[in-house]
Amino acid sequence: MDIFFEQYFDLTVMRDSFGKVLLGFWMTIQLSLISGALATVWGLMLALCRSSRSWVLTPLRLAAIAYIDVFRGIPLLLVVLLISGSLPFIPVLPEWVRAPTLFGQPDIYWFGIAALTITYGAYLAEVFRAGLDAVPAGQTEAARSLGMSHRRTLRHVVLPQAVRTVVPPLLNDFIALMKDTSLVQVVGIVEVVRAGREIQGETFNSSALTLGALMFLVVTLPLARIVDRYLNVHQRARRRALA
Amino acid sequence: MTHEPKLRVTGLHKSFGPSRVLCGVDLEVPAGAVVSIIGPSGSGKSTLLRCVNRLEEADSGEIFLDGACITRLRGKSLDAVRRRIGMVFQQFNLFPHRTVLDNVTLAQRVVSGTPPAEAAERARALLARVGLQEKADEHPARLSGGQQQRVAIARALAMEPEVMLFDEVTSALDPELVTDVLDVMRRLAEGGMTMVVVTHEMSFARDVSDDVLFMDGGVVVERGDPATVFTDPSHERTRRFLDRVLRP
Ligand SMILES: Nc1ncnc2c1ncn2[C@@H]1O[C@H](COP(=O)(O)OP(=O)(O)OP(=O)(O)O)[C@@H](O)[C@H]1O
Ligand SMILES: [Mg+2]
Repeated sequence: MDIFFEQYFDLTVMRDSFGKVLLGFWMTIQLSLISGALATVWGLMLALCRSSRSWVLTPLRLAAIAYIDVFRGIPLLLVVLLISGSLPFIPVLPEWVRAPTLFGQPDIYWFGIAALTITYGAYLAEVFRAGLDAVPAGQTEAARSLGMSHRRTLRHVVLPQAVRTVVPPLLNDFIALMKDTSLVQVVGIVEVVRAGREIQGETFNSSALTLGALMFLVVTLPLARIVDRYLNVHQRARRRALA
Repeated sequence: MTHEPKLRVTGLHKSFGPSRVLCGVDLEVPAGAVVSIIGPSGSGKSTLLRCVNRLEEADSGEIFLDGACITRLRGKSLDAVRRRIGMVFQQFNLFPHRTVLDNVTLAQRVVSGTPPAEAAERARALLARVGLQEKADEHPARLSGGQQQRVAIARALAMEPEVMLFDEVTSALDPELVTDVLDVMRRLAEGGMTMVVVTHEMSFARDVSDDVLFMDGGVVVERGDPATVFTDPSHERTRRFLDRVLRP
């Protein structure tokens, strides 16, 4: 029993590896925040393209649908490999695409972020689309009948209402994204899981990984509670509105 | 000499897939007149109103506002024309994320660029007109249906429309809340507003309208002054419809 406990909760290992694991977790946070923000913007753009009704935008709508279907249907790991293992070897691409070094970060950092953004953009597009669809058509009609343009109707009437229904699933997807950052370690980014694994390889003890898990929970548990709270408050508000 | 009516619709056709909803509808609304449209469910009344402010595209036929054809306007000029046509819906369609005051000021501010203070001042005056000045800072969800509908009327009036379209605006209301809304509409009519009112409130149609249209199956079956249509309709279909809705 003790042996079992020590394999996962060796305090000495945890203490010795704390700095390294925390550094890895900081990388996890960076990857999550940057690709989370980019995927939100990208997903919203995709959703707006997909929800467009005008026939002029039909090619754009079809492209958005194809994109969303494809990237929801293939594994993130595959996307990571397709980017990092290919772009550097395509000489026609400009230097900043083949070997991006923005803000002094290595190319693998940006490849990881690109893969997460590309894949989660597709997931978030579906979240946003559901949010846009949940706003009753009567809202748009009321706004348009007042002479508001399509764009202003979106901005002042539809999006503010869509955002409310979208917050809980958005946070859920953000939790998922944060966990999936561990996949980009295959290209050599030392985030929290990779850091823990390296220590596991040196010490034959898993406590550094346990420590990583705890760090994840410090962020993901409160987020999960926020989602719950949000859903409860809104359900109560909705029930009151219907009563 | 003939005066061009405020609103004129000629030969309007509209189908949804195989179902032909409007089959050649003509409508004339002189400035300052109130025209009521009655008829059984599914006869195309809502579709007609929705075609007038282009929420629905007619398949053929023309719509004229002050003699100018608006049937094929697009983009900015369509938005501009919609400002001149107010619409009130059966389901109110207030913006739930905005206060009552914001509901009334929003379009003025973002469309006409009215300064917020001026928009708010006008909104408060309009809310007073519909008897809701003290609800300005509430959210719509906290209002009764009748109050919400009166806010919706104030919201439409805020754009200073030349024509108001009402689509069964009291049908979703509890009976005791109907009167307040009808009173607002009656006063609006007395004030000289040009109005097209789709309604199941036969007493309103009889007392307030200058003209009554009876629609059935996508066509206008009968039109005339309310006294004639209600007491001595010339078509059997009108008679049967009135018998059914007027019998207590
Ligand atoms: N967007 C739509 N798609 C398909 N069919 C529609 C659509 N809108 C209306 N219809 C059909 O058109 C017909 C007329 O509808 P409309 O709403 O104009 O009738 P109405 O006279 O307003 O009836 P009510 O008194 O019930 O409101 C109905 O049969 C309806 O099912
Ligand atoms: Mg209707």
